[in-house]
Amino acid sequence: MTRAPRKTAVRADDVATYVILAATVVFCLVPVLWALVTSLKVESGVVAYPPRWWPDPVTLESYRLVFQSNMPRYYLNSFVVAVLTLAATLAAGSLGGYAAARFDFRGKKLVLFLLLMTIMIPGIVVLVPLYLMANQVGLQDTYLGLVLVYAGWQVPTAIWLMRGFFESIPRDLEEAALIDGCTPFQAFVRVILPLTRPGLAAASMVVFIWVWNEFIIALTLTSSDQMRLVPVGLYLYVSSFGVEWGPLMAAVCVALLPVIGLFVVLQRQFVEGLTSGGTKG
Amino acid sequence: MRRKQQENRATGRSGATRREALRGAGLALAGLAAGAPGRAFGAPAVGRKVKLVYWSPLDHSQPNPRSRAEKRMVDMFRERHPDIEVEVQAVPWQQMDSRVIQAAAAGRAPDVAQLSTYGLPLHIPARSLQPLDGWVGKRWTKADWDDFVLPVSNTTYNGKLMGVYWNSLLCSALWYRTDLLEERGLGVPQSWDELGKTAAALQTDRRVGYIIGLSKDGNAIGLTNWLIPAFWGAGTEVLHEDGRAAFDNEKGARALEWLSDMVYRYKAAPPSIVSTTRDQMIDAFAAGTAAFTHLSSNVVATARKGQFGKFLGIAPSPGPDRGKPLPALVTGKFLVMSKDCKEQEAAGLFIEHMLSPEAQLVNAKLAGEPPSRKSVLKDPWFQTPEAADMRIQLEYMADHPHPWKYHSKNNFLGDLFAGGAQDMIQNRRPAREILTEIAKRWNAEIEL
Amino acid sequence: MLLVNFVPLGYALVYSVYRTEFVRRVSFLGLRYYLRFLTDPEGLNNVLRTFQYVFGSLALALPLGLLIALLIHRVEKGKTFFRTLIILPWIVSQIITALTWSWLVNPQFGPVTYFVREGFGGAFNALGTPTGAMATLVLANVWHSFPYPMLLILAALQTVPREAIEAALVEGASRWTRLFRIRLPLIRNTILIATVMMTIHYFNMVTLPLVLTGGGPAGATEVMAIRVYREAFQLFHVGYASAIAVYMFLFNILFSVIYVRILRGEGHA
Repeated sequence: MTRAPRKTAVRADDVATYVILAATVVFCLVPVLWALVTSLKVESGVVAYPPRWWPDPVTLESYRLVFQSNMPRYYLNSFVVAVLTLAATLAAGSLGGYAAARFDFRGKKLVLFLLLMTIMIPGIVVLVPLYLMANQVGLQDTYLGLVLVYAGWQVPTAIWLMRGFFESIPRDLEEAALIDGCTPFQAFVRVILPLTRPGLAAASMVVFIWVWNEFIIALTLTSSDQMRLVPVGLYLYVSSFGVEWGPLMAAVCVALLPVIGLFVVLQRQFVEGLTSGGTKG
Repeated sequence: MRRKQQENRATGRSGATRREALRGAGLALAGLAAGAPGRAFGAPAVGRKVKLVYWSPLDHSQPNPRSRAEKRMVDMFRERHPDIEVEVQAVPWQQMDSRVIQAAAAGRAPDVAQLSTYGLPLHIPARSLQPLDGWVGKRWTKADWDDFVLPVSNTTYNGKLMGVYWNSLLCSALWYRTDLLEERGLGVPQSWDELGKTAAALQTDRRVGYIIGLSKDGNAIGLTNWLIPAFWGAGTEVLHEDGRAAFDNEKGARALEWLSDMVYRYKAAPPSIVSTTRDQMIDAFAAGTAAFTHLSSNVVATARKGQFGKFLGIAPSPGPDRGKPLPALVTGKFLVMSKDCKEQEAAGLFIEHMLSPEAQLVNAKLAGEPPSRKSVLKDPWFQTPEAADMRIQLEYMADHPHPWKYHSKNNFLGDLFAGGAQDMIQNRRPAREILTEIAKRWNAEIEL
Repeated sequence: MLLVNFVPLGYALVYSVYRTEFVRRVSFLGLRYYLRFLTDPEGLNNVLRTFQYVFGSLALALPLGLLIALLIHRVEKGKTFFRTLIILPWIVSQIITALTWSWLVNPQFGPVTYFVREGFGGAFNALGTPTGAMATLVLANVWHSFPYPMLLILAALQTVPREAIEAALVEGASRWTRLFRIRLPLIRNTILIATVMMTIHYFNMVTLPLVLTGGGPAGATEVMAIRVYREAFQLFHVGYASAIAVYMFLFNILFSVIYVRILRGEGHA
């Protein structure tokens, strides 16, 4: 194989790559852009046919309505619950995932399978029991109740995710660390954990977004305005008087921001994970 | 002693026949200003600090007219009873009934709740409520009891008052586009046949003639709000006294078949109505992509805000025969006291306040909600142009009443009707066959 | 974890063998609800639709996620740009996905409807036919969920040691060889985990199908999860709903066992 033709082939591939990616971006963006455009329309232009592709006039009225309501409080609630859940889940998930990937112990298969089974439980069927239990122990309508349930639901996912990442790290690395005189825990924290940053970042995304968007548990385990989470707040725009599309879409756009922000922050972790990866050191 | 009084009143109430009560309602409404005695309710304080939790489908922090109206109503109560704290918790309307039942099972149901229009009967077998007797209307006269637009027997179960109407709600009226009819010089359709033909005539590439939603979404009210009165208009009841299906006959089939005709014979409605939801009906009308639809009084204000809102015309729902509109299906949201309410005294005062003429008037003026009390209609506001929509609907309700009490398994019935109607349109099956199947499944369900 | 996962499941198991009235247990029924579901003609439909939904979505979302991850991994310019934008649908909740899509394809005023109608003429109505409704539902779900495997695979690709690739390059392996012999085997675990997670997630999804199609038309998109929701929260047949949910749980176990077998089998190969 000569060098020159390969280069042109690569260039053609690059074009194809960008075309496919651009098409995917369009596919991904259209519904979100539609939400954004809708949120900027005046009320009488929201539902119109033929559809109005551009808000004319552009108005921030819908956003004003969102910020005048209790929505800001719901954003705060969702944020608090998501961060607490994330902390609990990542701690348990990375330790558990590491143990699952590295240590052999009696009944490991069973434990792993039980973990997987928890993910398999259909969420809708445990709602009523969860509600009754939360009331019995006084955790109904509290942050703690939500965090406990969310963490309980997400830790198995996190363990399974992290286990995949730990397993893709060569064992020689820790063995080397152990030979250098590290305890297993030190080896884990100093050597392995930094290597799984991409994994941690991915798990964080998974957990955070899940909590941020979760609807039916939030609906069941909260009742007061002080505790309500964003998805339930959004759902209140789908009233028995029809859907209030303008404020709903404005609230959706605001709800997307923190997650996009989180993702932008975690991108750096991906990149760091990439550059620090490998066994060169 | 109180118990004795209660019993007397209860018997007095059930003694009046349903027809009498209805006629009463009709007369008072038709006259509008004729005037049953309006009463300002006394405001005795409970005497100590108490707190009530009220579950409403309205998020009071939202700046929309409905939320603002109810917030105003509650604020009036707070001003009057500084010793009673009311915490309002918003619950999405689709989930209200199941959440109240669930909460009651955990012993944590709210003191007072506003149930959906078909919700109350569900809570009777669920045992999630307590009777209002002795707490609501302690000082009311017979005139006060007769003041309800819908008969009190509607909310009475086993001789006990289990709820009261928060508003009146006309479930289905004909919505049409005034501009389109004018343009063509057409009159408002007076029968099913006319509606089919007119709708077909107004159809364009960008606009369907008629839209209705057969989706099961929202307990299928997009369909049943029209279908129940359509059964009546065609000459059959929906259910027998014992709850068994009464719609399974030629008359019932004629009503259901009309939907099929709209799609296949008049070609005035698209087959996509099988998956259309009620929300989409509202939006379609607001967007000007439907010339006719059937919708309820509580969404008029929403549709008015759309691009074509100013061209919305409302008329009695036509029936099979010209000039004989369908009877009006009228219900309302319910105010109830849950079984877990310990502050019955305060809760009773709160419910009485929400029914008071002042509060009902606020709801009518700000939110366009027809009042649940006839005496409220005396207010001059109801004669203003602003109240035009409401007048038409109130007159329809008054002129064409029909007794109706939702069955406790209404959700199941709605589900069956929606599934059956979808099947009929999708697979072009005869309505009679579908109704027989539905009747069989319904009868089996209630005998369970 | 035990408390929030298995105890509620225990409750559900108990409910499923009782005749229930709302949340109360009335009388012991044994396995009657389980048998009823097997003979319920709608039950068969529910199972069938669930399989169409789950495996239809999987068959599209997984390859798409893999492809896009490989492409993003490959490009040098605009990596962050693509990654951020392509992740967007996944950030959107199921409810919002459903509401937005139902608007896009709304037969009266949806933009997609508008394009089809103006471009090709004739009525278009994505949700009005059984096939159209299922296709739209699957497409909306793929839109919503494919960034998940993409994100996982992308993260996994970055843990593939550069040496491995470099060594292969030195040996003159072609791009396809590098992909199939080195990259994919090294991220095999991640792909399988993504598959397991997505399968379970799809099986248990309620909100998206419920809000987008409500199970219609004529039951064409009524997956088991919707059936459970309707039985439990609209019709208050808590016992029967629990029994159907247990079937869902069993399906989840069954497919996970199959996947884990594949994982283990290949691991030893």
